[in-house]
Amino acid sequence: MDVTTSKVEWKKGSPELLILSLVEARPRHGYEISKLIEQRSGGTVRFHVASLYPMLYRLERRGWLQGRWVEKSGQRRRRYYRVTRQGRRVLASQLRGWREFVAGINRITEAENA
Amino acid sequence: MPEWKPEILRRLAPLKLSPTREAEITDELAQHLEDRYRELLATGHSEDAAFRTAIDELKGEDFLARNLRPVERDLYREPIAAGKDSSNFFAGILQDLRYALRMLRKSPGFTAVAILTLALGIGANTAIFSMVKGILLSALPYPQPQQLYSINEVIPQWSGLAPILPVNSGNFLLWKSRCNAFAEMAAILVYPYNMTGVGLPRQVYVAQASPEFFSLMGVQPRLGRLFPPLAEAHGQSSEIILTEELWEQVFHSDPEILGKPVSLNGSSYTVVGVLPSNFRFPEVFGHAPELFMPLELRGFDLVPGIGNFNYAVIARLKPRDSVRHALAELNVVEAEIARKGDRLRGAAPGQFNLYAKLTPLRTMIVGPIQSALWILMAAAAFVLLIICANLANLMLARNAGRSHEIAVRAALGASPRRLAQQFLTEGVVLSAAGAVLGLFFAAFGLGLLVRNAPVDIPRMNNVRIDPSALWFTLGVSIIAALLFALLPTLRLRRIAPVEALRSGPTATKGKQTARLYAGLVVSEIALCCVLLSGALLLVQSLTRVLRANRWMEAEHVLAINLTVPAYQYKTMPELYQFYSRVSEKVQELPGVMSAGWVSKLPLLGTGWGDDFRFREVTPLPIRPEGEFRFASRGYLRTIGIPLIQGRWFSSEDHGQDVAVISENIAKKLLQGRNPIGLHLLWENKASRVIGVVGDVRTAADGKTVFAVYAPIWSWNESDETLVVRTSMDPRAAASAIRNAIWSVNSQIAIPREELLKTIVQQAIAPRQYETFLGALLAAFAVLLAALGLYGVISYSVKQSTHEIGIRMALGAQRRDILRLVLWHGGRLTLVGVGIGILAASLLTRLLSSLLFGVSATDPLTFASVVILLVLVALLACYIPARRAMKVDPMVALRYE
Repeated sequence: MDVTTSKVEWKKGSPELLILSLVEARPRHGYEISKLIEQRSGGTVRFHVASLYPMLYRLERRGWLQGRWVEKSGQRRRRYYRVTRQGRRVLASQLRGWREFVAGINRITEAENA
Repeated sequence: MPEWKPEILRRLAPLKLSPTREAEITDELAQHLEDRYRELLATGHSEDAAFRTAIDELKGEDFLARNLRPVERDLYREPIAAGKDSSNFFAGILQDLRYALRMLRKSPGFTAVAILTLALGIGANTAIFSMVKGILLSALPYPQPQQLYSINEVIPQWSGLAPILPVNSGNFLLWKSRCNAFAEMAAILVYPYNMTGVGLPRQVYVAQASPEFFSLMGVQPRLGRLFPPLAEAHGQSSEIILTEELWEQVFHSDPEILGKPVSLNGSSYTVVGVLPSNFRFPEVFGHAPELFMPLELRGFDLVPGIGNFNYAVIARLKPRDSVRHALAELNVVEAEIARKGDRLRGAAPGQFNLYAKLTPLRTMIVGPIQSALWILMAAAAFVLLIICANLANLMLARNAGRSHEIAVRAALGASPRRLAQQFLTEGVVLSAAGAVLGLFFAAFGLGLLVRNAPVDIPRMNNVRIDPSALWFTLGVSIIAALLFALLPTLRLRRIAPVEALRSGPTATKGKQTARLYAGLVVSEIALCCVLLSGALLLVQSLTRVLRANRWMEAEHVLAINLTVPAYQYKTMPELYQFYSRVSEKVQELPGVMSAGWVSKLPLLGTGWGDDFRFREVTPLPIRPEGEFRFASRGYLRTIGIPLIQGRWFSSEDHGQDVAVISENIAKKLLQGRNPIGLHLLWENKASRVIGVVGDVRTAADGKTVFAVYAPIWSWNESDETLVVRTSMDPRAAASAIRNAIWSVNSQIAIPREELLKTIVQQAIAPRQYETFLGALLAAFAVLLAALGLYGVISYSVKQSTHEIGIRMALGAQRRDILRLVLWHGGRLTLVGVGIGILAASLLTRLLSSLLFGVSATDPLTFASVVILLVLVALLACYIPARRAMKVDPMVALRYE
């Protein structure tokens, strides 16, 4: 893999990776996704409404996510997103790339610090 | 609670999203902001701070739009459900189309019925249009065919005998020299000749034609040349031109045929040319000729006058000349001839009026089928109208079921125009499918129609589905779609979304809708009534024609029309010798019961026409025209005309001037006087009447003629028909009969024998054909109208289940309910039938020319139409009425 390309893809792909991995286990709605990102990153990563939803729509358009309106009694309807089969494949390959990248970084930094 | 939506909508505005997409995004984002706001409140923020933090998620004014633009730009699709006026016309159409297909898929029953009935209606229209086009409208296969006219002569005083006459050759020559309006003019006479020397003697039809005939019709020879342009009066030629058919059949397409001799009626002729295969002789001028010879006019033929109307004349108008001018020129000549009178032929000066009649050649060829075809076309159009009314009703019923959906769409901003467009699209989709299927039906049906067409219908070989039929189909299907799809949308303007939404999918139909339903059903029944009246009148005419000619449908009678060569038998006694020897020989044959001669068989047109009177009876102001038949002793018994009074010719009458008259002469002209013994004056003869026989016609659906029979020894023609009655299959006797004739004269050509039965059947076939088509369309119309009525009544029963329930709960009996429902349908039927009978009594007049023995406003026919339609209507209403009777009040009242 060409490092330069990988890196560029990386930057672009990272928010997508976050979102896909969050809905992998079960469908979640937008607010829940943004909440989880914020919590799990300890508040370091935050998506605003104005950037989160355009991203969700883009993923949905690519066919990686599928949104569905769900109505529960006594509540407003919410749109839940779940990962599609294609989305799962993309997620798997991106995770692999990410792990390789992290492992590479680790090897470099561990060698320095050892 | 803060209002998030305005904030979001303001930021989305620059994107110009479709309303549904905008609503979706707004919903989702507002929900997010709401969640965020509640969370902030829960963690102790003030309302004001929480609102500001939440709204901050939207970032700047244009941040959201900027992020969404790349995603939403291409994603934009017209929502399927709503339908605001679209900025993109084609996107709108595509969307409507998709939606229409989906809606039609959702109700396969409706869709199938609609497409099938439309296909049948459109198919019938296309098939009949193709016949109209091929027979009536398409150009004749000659150059500039619109300039071609047939000229006839008219003598008003003779109109009882023949409304139009062929042309006197002397008059023709006078026209030719005096009239400037015509570019060319040709006279034609078709007559059978004996062709000998090539195998068995053969009867061939020969056209004697003016040399201009070929240039007039635009024909070039395939082989050799045409006749040199010589005036008819000088013609002295022994040249002949063969048609390709004869050249092929008799001369085996001999390439060396030019210059070879052919023997016709004992004289030798030389072949100078062969015509191309695509040349079609205008059928109207007699039997299609197999060869042509130049017309020669001599002596008596050159004298203009009143009488000897024997020739067909065809003329080409000069390109810039008018029919009116041409006719005026002809009639100047005619008036002059009439003024002078005709001493040779016994017409005093000024005794008769004489006019010329110009008829477009096409009209002449098409003949009486014209009115029948237009009437069938109209009937097919009526059927399609009924189908449209039916579909409009079905669409209305469906729309009533869809009122909720329509209301939602109206609420979302769809204008009535936009909704109408949607329904029209559904109509167009149905109609297009119907048209495609209809074309298949038409192609199939037309094949059947052409294959089974009687030989007498002209130009049938020209009938096919051509591009014009495709355009016609397209046009018809668009009109149909407009009719049945747009009518129901007239109601859309009255949709009040709020009420429709509140009352849900089972919104009750309004009074106007009910009126629209009723109007459609009433018009269906009225249309059906008109069609049925017309069809019944035609059927009645047909049965009357059949009944009138039934006596001729004898199983075992055959007829052979002989043209005895005049060069062999020059006088009447010689001819009589020949005829009597043949009948003697034939009568001796085993299996032959009787044989006889007649100069013209019934149903085969007019023969010798002349006026006559009785010596003992004061003549009527206008002398009656008689049809003279020259018959032998055996004729009456053989053909089976009944003897009413007196007797037929017998051997003791030999050499005497006797006559037998038809019954209607005795009834209409003699006012009850006994005809036997009276003297009938004709052609310088005074024939004693010895008998009265049954009436005959010159056409199957013609009037009975004043038939006068004279014995074959006192008068005869060289063209007589031998009639033979056998005790076995007459076809088996045919070859023996042929040999018997040849044993008297081996040079005579004997054409194929015909069964009397076949002659009758062929004479009736065109009427049978037209009547069958008309009846088929009418039956289809009745079925459709019954279905329409059934549909509306069952729909109304379904709609009023609640009402019926209340009535029953209040004590109404099942009988009352039955009466209620039947009365509902009966009322519609009665109004429809009333309007229909009124319209029919006006429209059936157009049928008059096709009717026989029944008046166009025959009360019995109209009464049976009313009864039939009412019965059908009651049946159509009875089924839903029975359903209504079974309504359980408890269930009905719960049902809403």
